[in-house]
Amino acid sequence: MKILVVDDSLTMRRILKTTLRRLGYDNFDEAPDGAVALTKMEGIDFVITDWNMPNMDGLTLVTTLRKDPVYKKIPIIMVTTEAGREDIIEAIKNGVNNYIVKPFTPEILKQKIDQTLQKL
Amino acid sequence: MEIDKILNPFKDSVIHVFNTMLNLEPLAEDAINVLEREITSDITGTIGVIGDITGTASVRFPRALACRIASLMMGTEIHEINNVVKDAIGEIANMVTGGAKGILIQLHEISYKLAIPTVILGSDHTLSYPTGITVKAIPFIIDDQKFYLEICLKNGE
Ligand SMILES: [Mg+2]
Repeated sequence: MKILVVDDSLTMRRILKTTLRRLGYDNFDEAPDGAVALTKMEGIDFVITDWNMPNMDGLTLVTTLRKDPVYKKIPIIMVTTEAGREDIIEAIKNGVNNYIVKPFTPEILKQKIDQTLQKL
Repeated sequence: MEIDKILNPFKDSVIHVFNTMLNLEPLAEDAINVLEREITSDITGTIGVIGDITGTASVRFPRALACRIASLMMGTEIHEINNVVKDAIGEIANMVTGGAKGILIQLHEISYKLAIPTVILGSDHTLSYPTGITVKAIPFIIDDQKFYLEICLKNGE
């Protein structure tokens, strides 16, 4: 399974990649915003994306992917600090499969990925 | 809205971020009025917020502690302030402000939007605010190092 990690923060991308590697996933690509992510979608099976990013934010990335027949059903987890309930509802309405609030532990990331894959 | 009511969720959020992301246990001291006692730092991560409360929230570190935080986040030793340290401190500010929002919604139904983090560098720099505005800070201690959460927030847009 090839995972695309999308976050404007280099540190956050590193933390996500390190955690994913520890969980046994070692095939991934990364992008600093939604616009770059869209150019790297080929061969991607799973998207983990930040919400707040310059150029193109996570929500726009999700809406764009959901309109594309190829990526209409690709699993997407949104990772963000926006801990508000209304944001979670908005993200899910727009097609996000699951949601992680930063800061998170490796256990939470694992749990969310497993949950998402089970529900497919 | 009293600034003290806002301060506590931010304090809890700082502690939560440090526990979860860095495995560190910062000890909070009593809040201080920044207009009476100016605070200096070498690196500051600031987030603008707008909504039910508006203003800025900042996390402010001495050089050595900022490098230690970035080293923990990246899993490599970093000894100087570079782009990675700047990014890490911006992300700490982002997580602290986002986490505080989650608590403020639940406790007081206060919500806001976050801007992209800004990072300010400079040995012993201070921050300036408009006159007549309340600015509060909470000092935190990790081992022998001290950092600050500094907030300047008022009602409405
Ligand atoms: Mg971000």
